Formats: sequence, C-alpha cells, structure tokens
Amino acid sequence: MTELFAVHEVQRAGQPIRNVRRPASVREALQELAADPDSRPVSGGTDLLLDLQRTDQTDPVDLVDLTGIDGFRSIVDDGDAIVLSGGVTHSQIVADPMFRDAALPLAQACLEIGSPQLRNRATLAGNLATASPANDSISALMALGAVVEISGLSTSDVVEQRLVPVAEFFTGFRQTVLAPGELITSIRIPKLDAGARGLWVKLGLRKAQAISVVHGGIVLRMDGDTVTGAALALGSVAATVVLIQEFADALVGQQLDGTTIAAAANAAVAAIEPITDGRATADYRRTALVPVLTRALQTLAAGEQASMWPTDPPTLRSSSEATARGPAHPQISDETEVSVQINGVEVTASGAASRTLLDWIRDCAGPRSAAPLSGVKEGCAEGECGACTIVLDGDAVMSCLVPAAQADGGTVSTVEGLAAGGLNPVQAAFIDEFAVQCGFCIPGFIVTGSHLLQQYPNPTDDQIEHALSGNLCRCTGYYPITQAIRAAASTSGDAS
Amino acid sequence: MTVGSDSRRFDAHDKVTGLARYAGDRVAANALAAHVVFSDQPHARMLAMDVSTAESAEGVVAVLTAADVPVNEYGLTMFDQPVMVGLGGTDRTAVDCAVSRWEADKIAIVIAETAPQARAAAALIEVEWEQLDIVPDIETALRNDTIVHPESGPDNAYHHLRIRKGEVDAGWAAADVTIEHTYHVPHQEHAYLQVEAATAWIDDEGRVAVETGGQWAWEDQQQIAHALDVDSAQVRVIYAAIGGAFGGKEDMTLQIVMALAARKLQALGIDRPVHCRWSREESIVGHHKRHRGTIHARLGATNDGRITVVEADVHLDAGAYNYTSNKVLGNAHLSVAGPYEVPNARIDSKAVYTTTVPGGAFRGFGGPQGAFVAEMQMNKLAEALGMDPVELRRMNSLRDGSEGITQAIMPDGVTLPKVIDRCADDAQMDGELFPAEPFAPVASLPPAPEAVRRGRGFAAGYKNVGFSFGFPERCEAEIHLHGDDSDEFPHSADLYHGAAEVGQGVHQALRQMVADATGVPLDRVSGHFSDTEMPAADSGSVSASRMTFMSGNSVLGAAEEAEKAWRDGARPAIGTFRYTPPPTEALDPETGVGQPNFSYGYMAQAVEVSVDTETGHIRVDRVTSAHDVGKAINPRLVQGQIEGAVVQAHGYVMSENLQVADGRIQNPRFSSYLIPGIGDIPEHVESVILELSDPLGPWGARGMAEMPYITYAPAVIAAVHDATGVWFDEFPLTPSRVLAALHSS
Repeated sequence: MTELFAVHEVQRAGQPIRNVRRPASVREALQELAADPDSRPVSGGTDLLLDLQRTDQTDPVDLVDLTGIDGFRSIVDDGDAIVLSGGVTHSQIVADPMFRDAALPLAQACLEIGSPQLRNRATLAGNLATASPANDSISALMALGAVVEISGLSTSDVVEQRLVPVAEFFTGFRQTVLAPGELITSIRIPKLDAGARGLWVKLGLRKAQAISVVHGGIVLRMDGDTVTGAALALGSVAATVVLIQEFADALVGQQLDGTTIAAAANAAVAAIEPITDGRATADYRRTALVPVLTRALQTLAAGEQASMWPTDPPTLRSSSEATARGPAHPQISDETEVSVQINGVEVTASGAASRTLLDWIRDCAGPRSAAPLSGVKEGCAEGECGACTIVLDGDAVMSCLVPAAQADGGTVSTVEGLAAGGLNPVQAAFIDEFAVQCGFCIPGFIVTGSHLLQQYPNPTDDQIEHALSGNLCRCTGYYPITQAIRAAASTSGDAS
Repeated sequence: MTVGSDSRRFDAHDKVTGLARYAGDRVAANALAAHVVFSDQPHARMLAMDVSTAESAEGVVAVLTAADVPVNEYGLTMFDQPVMVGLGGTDRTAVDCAVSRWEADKIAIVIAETAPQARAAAALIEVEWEQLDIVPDIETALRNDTIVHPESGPDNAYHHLRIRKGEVDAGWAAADVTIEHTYHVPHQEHAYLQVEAATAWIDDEGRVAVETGGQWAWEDQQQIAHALDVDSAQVRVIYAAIGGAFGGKEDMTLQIVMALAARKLQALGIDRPVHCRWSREESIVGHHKRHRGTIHARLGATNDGRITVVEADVHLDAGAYNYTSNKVLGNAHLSVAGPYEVPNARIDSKAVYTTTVPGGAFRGFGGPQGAFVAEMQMNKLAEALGMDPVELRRMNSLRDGSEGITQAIMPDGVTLPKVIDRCADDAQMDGELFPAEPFAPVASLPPAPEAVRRGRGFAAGYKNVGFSFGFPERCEAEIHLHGDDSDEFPHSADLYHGAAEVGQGVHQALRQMVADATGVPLDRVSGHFSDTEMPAADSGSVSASRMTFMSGNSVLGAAEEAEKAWRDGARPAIGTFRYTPPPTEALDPETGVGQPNFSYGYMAQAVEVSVDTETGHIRVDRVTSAHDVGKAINPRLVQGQIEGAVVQAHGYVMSENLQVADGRIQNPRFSSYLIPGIGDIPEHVESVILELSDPLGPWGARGMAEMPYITYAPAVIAAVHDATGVWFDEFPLTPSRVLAALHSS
C-alpha cells in the first residue's frame, strides 16, 4: 500500500491570524462577525489560540477581539441572580466573595480550572462555547440552573437576544446551539437561597492543571432534613456535560441519611456510560464516582460545604473592571505599529496580529528595547508550564496564550523589570535558597512569586502552593522554590 | 576550604534576572529559520520524493534532504540511524536510508525567511511511501515477523548480554523459597523545560559553528564531523545556557542537521545564520525516552534470608534506533540482581528494536529499571519470609571485598551497609509512622479516616559512576594561574573545561574545586566552558553521575601542572591535564565476567505513603533519601540533586503515563503527559548525606545525581503494598490502575 506524505500532527502550520479587529460594543462586534463569517471571536483566547495552531486548516483568519467592549467584564448582583457579562474571567469569580456565598459550586469549579495565570484570561463564556465535556465550570453552571444570553444580529441589523438554559445549550460533543455570528453576552446564575446548598467536586490526575477525569456540580434544596429538590450535572462521563435525573429522583422526598446517599450515588453511576480515554478507564469513572458523590452528599448533609473553600486563594490579579481599557487601534494587522509599556518604557513594534504576546515580546519588542526581553520563555506554548508568565495590565498571565494585539496600549512587566535598582527580594531569595538549577523556568516563577507577594506579603504555604500551581520545574522538586518565597516574604516584611 | 561550602551559584544572578542566554534567545536579526520535517511514518519505505514545490514557496531559501548528507548515518555507540531518511544519498553507510522506522525520522529541512513560512512550505513536500508493518512493542518484535534493521541481523533482539555465575541449579537446590514475577516498566519523557534549539553559521575561520545545548560538546562535534565528512577541526560546537537535560540531550537532535543547513547556505552563497527551535510537541515526539521494558525475574533464598540464586530475562524497547540502548541495557543488566551478594545467577538481557520512539539515556541509565525489579523481588522475599526488609538487605548487602554479579571484586569503598543503616535509623523504620497531614485529595473531598491506609517501604541500590564496559573514559582540564613574576601565589585563575552545565551546578562545583586546588579565592576563579575551540575541550558527557568525580580529578591534575609551571616562573602558569580512571572491561559475551566499573555510589530510601482506597489517589508523606556521596563539594547542590531526582522519580512512578500506540506517541504535550506540579510532590524529603570517601574520588567525592532516582519507585510501591496489601508490578500508579487492583484483591 502506498501513501502520500502528510504533515505530522504536531507540525501543522495552523491558521495564521491576519487581522485583529477590536470593536468597542457588542453591536460592532456582531457586525464584524457578520461581515466576515470566517472570523472568530476572541476574549481570553486560551482555547482559541491552540485551536488555530493545531488545526489542519491553513487559511488566514481574522479575530474579533471582545476585550475592548465596554462593560464586558461586569458582574452584576441582580437580587436573586448574578449576571455575568461575556468577558468575565474565572479569576474574577474566584476573587468575588459573592460567588462563594451564593454560588459556591461555580466558585469551586473556577478555582480548579488551570492555574491562576490561566484563570486570569480564560472566560466563563469561552468555557461554554468550547463545550468540552471536561470543562469544569459547565457542571457547576448546569447544576445551578444558569441561563445563557446569546446575542445576534437580525436580518434588519438589530441586536437580538435569546435565552438558553445551560442544560439545553449543548447539542453534542463540542457542539452548541450557538449559530455563526452569535455571541454569548451574559450568563445569569440564580443565587442559592437559604433553603439551598451546593458543592462542586472533581477527580483529576494532578492537584492543579488537571483535565477532569470526572467533575460534578450538585445543588440540593432542603426542608429540614428532607430533600425537596436536587440537581447533579456530571462532566467527562458523556459527550456533553449532563444532568442526572436519576440522582435527583433518588433524593427528592427523602431524608438525607446514609441509605439515601448510597442510593443516590449508585443511581447516578447506573445512569452513566462513560468511556475509557487517556485519563482514566470507564470502570474507574464509575467506581470512583460512588465515593465522590457520597462524600459530597455527606458534606452537604452536614452543611459543611463552605469549609471546603480555601482561605484567600491568590488570584495573581490586580486589575479591576475599572482599569479595563478600550482598544488603541480598532484593527491590527502585522503592519500595525502597536505600543506597549514594557517595564515602564513604551515599546512600539509591528507583528502583533499573527503572534502570541510571548513571541511578540521576544521577537518584535525585544530587539527594540534596551533590555533584550528574552527572559520570557516558551516551555510548552499551551499555558501549562508558566515559563512565559508576565504581568499584563496588572494580571499575571501566560503570555503564550495571549494574542499580542490585545496588549496594544497596555502595560507589561517581565522578569527584566523586577531588578531595577538591584535584585528584588524574590530574586535574591531564589539565589540564596538554591532555587535555581537549569534556570529556564525561573523567570516565570519569579514573576509569579513577586506578584503573589504584592497581593499577600506574608502568604501561607497553601497560598504559595496555590499561586505557583501553574509553574512547572523539572530540576528542583520545588522545595527550595517554596522556601525562597517564604524567605522573600520575611525579608520584605522586615524591610517594611 | 571552599570545597564543602554552600557557596552561591555564579550563574544564578543571570538566571533570576532573565539575562541568561539559552540557545534560541536573542537570535541574530538576520537569521533564517529552519524547520525539521518529520516523516510521520512509523514504518514505511520512501518510493519517491519531490521538494520542488516546497522550494518555490514563499520565503523558502532551500530544502535539504538525505541527498545533502555526505555520510548519512548517526549513532553514539553504533551507526544504525540515517541523519535523514530519503533517497539519492551517497550510500556511504550500511543503513537503509530510504526506510522510516520512527514517526519522527527526519525527511527534510526547510530553510526560509521565517519559521511560519518554513512550516507552511513543509506541507508542499511530496513523498510516496510504501507501508511496512509497524512493530509496535517488544512482544511483537520478538516474533521477528518484521525485522526493523535487517542489516544488523535476523533478530529484532539485536543486543544480548549474559551473566552466568556459579551454578544456577545448585542455587535452586539450596533455596527454600522462590519469588517469581514479571514486571513492566514504562517509558518516561525527560520534560526538561527548555526544548531543543540551535543556531548554526559559518564562522570567521570558515568552520561550521553550532550553538545549542547538549551534554558533551566534544562528542557533538565528532558526530557532526562524521556526517559532514569533514575533519572535526572544521566543526565548532558551543553551548549556551542549557535548560535541563537529564540524559535527553545526550543524543543528537538538531546538531547535525543544523550544521548541514549552515553548509548548504554557504554553498548557496548565503552568509546568514540559521536557527531552529522545536515546539514542546516536536521535542516529545522527536527525542528518545527512558526505555520501557518487560522483565521476568526469579529469586531463590533460604528460610533465613540468604540469596542463593537470581535469574532474570530483561527486554528493553530500544525503539527504532540504538541511541545508547546497548549501554543502558548493560546497566539494567548489572542492577537487576541488586546490590547484593548473589552466588549463582543467570541473567539474559536484550535490547529490542521496534518502530517506536527510541529508548535512550535518562537519569539512571537503565539502573531504575533493573533496580525496580531487584528491589521488588527483595521486598516480596521479605514478605514471604516474614522478615524485616531492612534486615534482609543488611544480610545480603555487598561489602568491601564482595564479588559482584560480574564475578569481579567490587571497587573499594563499598559503603552500602552503612547507608542502609543510616537510612533505616533516620527513617525510624523500627518505630511508628511519622504523623501525616490530613489527606488532601486531588481537587475533591477528603476521604473518611477509615478509607485511608498508610504504609512504609524501603529500597536500597547502587549505581556506577562513569562510563562502563570499557568505553573510553577521560576528562580534560586546563588551568591558567595569573599573577606577577614576583608574586608568591597566583591572584586569579582561569579554568577551561568542557563540562556542560545542564542545571546540576557543575560549573559552581568546578570553581570551588579549582579554588581549593590552586589556593586562589573563589571569587577570583573564572570558568570558561563547553566550547570545542577552547583548550581541554573534552570532558566526556555530563551523564552517568560522573562529572564531579571526573572533572574534580582533572582539576586536581591540571592544578598540579599549573603549580609546577608557576614555580618555574611561567606567567600565566598553565596546567593541562587529562584524567583517566582505572580501565573498565566489556563483559564476556558468554559469561558476563569482567570489571565493568571503577566506582559506585550507594543509596537507600524509606518512603511513607497514604492511600485513599476509594479513589486510588496516593500521597507520599515522607521520603528519607540516604546517599554516600563521598564528599559533598557543595552540600546545597547535592541536596538539590536529591530533591530534584526524588520528584522526577515521583512522576515516573505516579503520574507520567506516556502512551505509545501503533508506533506513535499519543500524548506529546504537558497537558496530557503530567509531570509533578508543586502540589503533587512528597510532603517531606529528608536528604541524608553521608561522606564516606571514595578512594579514587577528588576530595573523596562520588557521583550522586542519579542515585536518588533509582530506588524511589520500588520504595513507593513497597509502601503502597504495606498500606494496602497489593503489589504493583506495573506503573505509573494512576488512580485507574490502583483502584482496579485494590478492587480485584
């Protein structure tokens, strides 16, 4: 049998980005999408950039950047519900105590996605649109009964909305009801009132940055010890995240005791037909789901669900909605000279449309700045290793997953900017604690660690672990790195 | 004395400020981009190839193929791999260059103005392939239905080592108990944070220069020269800062093809450097792995715990090409009987070609696979006899004067009994388990206390320091002492050395050793490293836990020579030295008799675990890792090697699950190949550093960087057994594997 050459899957050229359009309103964005049906909306970009890099398509594509839309990151307390705009990130939800109090499952799910740097970029709407059954926030939203607002343009060019419950949003594996040219413009999440309680659980293969083996959102409505309503949404057990009616049926009208809990957990397991994949066997998913649901129901029965929330998880985020900025250029191509404040100095360079911010800083901005800016490292180019961590507009982010055009008019700090006027305490501590071996991951750890100490000058070990959960090191085993952060915290404390 | 002090690393400042320049950083603005095109064929014969469309694509400057390689063969220990797979070559090799045996065989190098252009043009290459049968694993390979390398013989098991010691039948006759099991050890990806990158150009002297990161610049130079068919003086290899290696940068990836690219540009009259940087996915697909393998073992012992006989059949998956498989196999072969007195043994070890990713060097170099089996067998023997596993090891441990498994007396300084005792003491093996933190599971809810089982395990081991089996072993150093004619002592020193700084801290250790050897203060010792144009460029590789031992001896020799020159009035006073350790021997092909090594490091580890028996999640609560390092040149650097090796081994035994099917790696990404993050590591690692001199070591130092890795997997699995009663003869201990085994027991 003969066969012709095909490019190896890991060597695909992908779809180059030609222009990045930066509308200032939903209406403009919808018009842009309508004018070019092949263009792709982008907000956090954490999924989209990888899709474009890995596809076997090669046609250039335009992006419609939604981050310049006024109010696109707003969170509104609407009385009995919380309304999120389409650009709300996972870390906004982690940081806002309203979610912990009124939508705990969602807060918990958002805390388990990726790493702090990723959560500073990735949006809830993007998680819905990507529609992977492994997307953690979906099971929380589905169990909470959230409703998606979808906006589109009518034939007469009017912005129209339709509302779709999350439970009806998915039509198949990575398929949704979103039509071409439509956008998710808000998500409405009913608050858990006094009679309701909820929890979110997950099985993964690693403490952080673990694609779920199983994840589930649970909401119960109680009258005394009796369950009056129940919802369980499970992910990674079917082609979409699914509501398990059998679980609810086993609970409603029952006392939440050991017998009921066992019956409900077993009913849920009996209702699913998971597959075996690279992360787990089907058997494992079924077997391990029993204790996971059992523990969750026991925790809910005891009313201890809130105790699972960690104290002040660091978000590595100092931006706020107020600091959001509109677009500097309404459209950016590779010819456009974009300007970014890098380490306090304005750097102007072209090449921002087709590049990630990582590549733009290294290849385009570096040669035009006094500091070479090659301390920003590529270790994986998929947001898993943290070597490319920088601070963009106040937030620590993985620069490999940021379209460079989105930094136009923004501010960036890199490891090179931290040593102005001598080493900063984190840098000095990394040297003193022997936290540096090959050193390739170190700029990312330093930027992340410095940002942590800004947010929490005396972090607990849990906070250190949490903050550094998106940075991989293969040499040190992390022990001296943790020690260096502790040491830097105590020196900074002494100095103040 | 600076030797023995925790002096801060000289290279750390530039690494924490981002100034350290790695290959791929700050590439010249006029550099062209090269793209290495993988065949995407685990096993196929090329029938036709046409690159003309690709050559005329936008931005493309040149496309290299096999026809551009003067001597189209590569191999560190045997030439069995084409530099590029293709047609129209020079035929100056026995290797059939038209056959792709690996999905990442290189079929073309596209050079273009930009990397995206080069990548896009690769899709325009036209190739016609005839499919050959894929040989996906050891089991299939051993049937010999399809021979991967017909030129090397009719058997895919192409390299066979034997040990025939004593009388196996007598050993079984003396045995009261038999332990017999088959073990499967998995692949492991190095996952160094810096992926492969290289820049090549023609330098002012007309040489082809390659700047990259590797483990032995001098050997890179030899391999490039061989393929280019030029004198090695026409090739210069320079290492920039290196972002980790662990054995994974011992073989060539970009070195040869980038040199070819620079020469091609020169032939075209284009005077520009050319650069290439792999993606993470290209790195994982395109470089070798720790060998997976299947090992069947039988251990016989008396009721009072004396080993009477060991038998083993070791098969390691070499993949498509040998790389260093024949040597890695040797190490597995030596370690599969353990660091014990074994009067009778039959061991047959084979490296097996398949059409999958090559196996090669990785921290421990075959030692982890062999030691895993040896220690599993010992722990099962302890269980069968109802004996304390520590006592069982004390009783059987090699000691000074012992005859090793290859029937040679062990080199002096066999300190394993002391290391075992110290480890057992520090781990309080006779006492209760240490208190553990509450179980914090993977993003889920904690188990009820009764669902958690705790246990402890123990393992001991040894690992050679330096190249083995008669492979030529040497290390060069040159020291320049500076000062005025009237000075009694030099005021500064320069060291020239080939040793590659892959992160371990060898450049720091070298400076410390130079300071002590010359009497020059540490801050006035300058180092110049890893450039084949420098004096004393051949250090041997940074591998086999050898560099501190070898380079320290080279420094001592060079310092002595320099001091003589100083006393003779030379300024600078130059001392050059080439250290050669006692020779080693290849093993007898029939009996395995020989002296394979001149020095060993000894280690023991005790591990405590908690197991969530309902979800299969395991947490390592405590590791006591005891090592005789002879002399810690810099104790904090030694501790860094222990902690780093433990965590790398933790990934090996717990989560790193490389999936290879039909000759292809299924999960070539950090999102699907899971190395430990900061939340996944053992809660406590106690590094126990013993300094029992090696008679040959500089300042008594032994090698140590691989040792903490080697015993970890069996120690963890023994602890899991202690906790649950279940043995795992296969890993990684993914929750699926663990829970399935707990439920079937």
